[in-house]
Amino acid sequence: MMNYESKHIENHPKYKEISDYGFGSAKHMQSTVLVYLDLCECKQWFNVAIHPCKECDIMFISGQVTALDRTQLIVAVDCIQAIQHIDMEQINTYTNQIQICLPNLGNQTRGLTLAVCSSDSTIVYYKMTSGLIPPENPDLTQQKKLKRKRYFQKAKKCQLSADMTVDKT
Amino acid sequence: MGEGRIRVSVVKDCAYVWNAEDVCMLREKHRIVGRLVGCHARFARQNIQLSLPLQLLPEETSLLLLKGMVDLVDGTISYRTPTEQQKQALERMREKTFQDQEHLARQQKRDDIVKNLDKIKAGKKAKRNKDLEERRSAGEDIDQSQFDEDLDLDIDSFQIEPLRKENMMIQIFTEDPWQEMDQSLDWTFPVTEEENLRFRVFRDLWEKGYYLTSGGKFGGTFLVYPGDPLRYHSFYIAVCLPYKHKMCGQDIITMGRLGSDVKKTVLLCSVNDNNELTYTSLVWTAIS
Repeated sequence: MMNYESKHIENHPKYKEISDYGFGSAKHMQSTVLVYLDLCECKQWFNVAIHPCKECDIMFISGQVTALDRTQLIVAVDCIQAIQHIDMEQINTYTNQIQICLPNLGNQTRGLTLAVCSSDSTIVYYKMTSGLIPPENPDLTQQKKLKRKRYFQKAKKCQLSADMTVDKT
Repeated sequence: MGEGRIRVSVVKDCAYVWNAEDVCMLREKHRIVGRLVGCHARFARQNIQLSLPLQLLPEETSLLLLKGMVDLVDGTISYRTPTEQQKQALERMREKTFQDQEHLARQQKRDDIVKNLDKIKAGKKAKRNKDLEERRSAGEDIDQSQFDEDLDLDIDSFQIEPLRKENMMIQIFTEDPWQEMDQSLDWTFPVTEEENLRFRVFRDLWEKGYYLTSGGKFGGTFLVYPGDPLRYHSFYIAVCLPYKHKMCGQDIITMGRLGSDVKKTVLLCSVNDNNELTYTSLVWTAIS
């Protein structure tokens, strides 16, 4: 008989590691581990790590899109968790001082990414930055869109040719 | 009332600017956009292109008052029954206008005559020659030189018909010309904490050089433009909220989604515990 309890996220080694920090609600820890796994396994980020922040009573995640990219900081919150602007300001303030806490973190991007987790494990990422950050240039957005389209077309072609090779054999 | 200040009519806490030149100056010189809410005189019965008056946001009005650029007057005075004095002043003004128009009409007709004098001479000569021809045919002895003689016409001899009163043009005013300039009004915005926050945010962003309009269409407080809204799309949807106002993650997604769908940044604006304005930009990120 399958042991469902052993499959639960709370049995994940990372969860057990961060629960040893002794702060943060169970919901927040679950969301953090969920985001951690998403970044590691789905998005395939580099150098993903979880860091505790006692001052804000939260854990945040650091990682890089590629090995050469700047480090980004992410905070996981639950969909129904109450947040105030004061909370976001506090988190922003502390992330600005992060170099002192973690000197090995290296070159970081400005601001913080909020990862909102739903009950069905959907995660939506929003970048939060202090100050006025203008939106991306529409030409750049268009270029990225075309690049993504070409990438998926190429992936589809590779998949098709792989399927055909399997069929022949 | 101050020299060079723009007159703003207030009716039931709504501020209006009726003068077209003032509306242009507000936009070009002071970066105040407002919204045209009146019926277009030439294109009535449609809502696509509206006209004067320009309605100002309460924040815009308060800012202009603070900067000493406007004077407020009671707009309800324009709706009252005119006094005998005003009626007589109108009659005098109409009479003067008629005399000016009459003089201009006469001048116009005289200029037309001068312009077409050659044609008129040719026409009169042809008519004269026709009469002479008829007389010659009747047996009268007419010398050929009479046919060739040119007419000497004096412009002042022409009878110019005067302009009639029923043909005179009457101006319908958009701005009330009879408004008493010594009427002043108290303006009470902002009063509540929420109004104060909105006004502080509006003023701060305006002083940074942005153009601001109402953000109701996009679910925010203001739309913030880097330049004139006729030439640029807005960059930000400013949402004013108290510093300790509780939101849930879902609310963040709602606001963020609103902004990302229209390629704008959502700007959360609050006043912190140190009485400083704080801005947090919220942008959807495609983490990949």
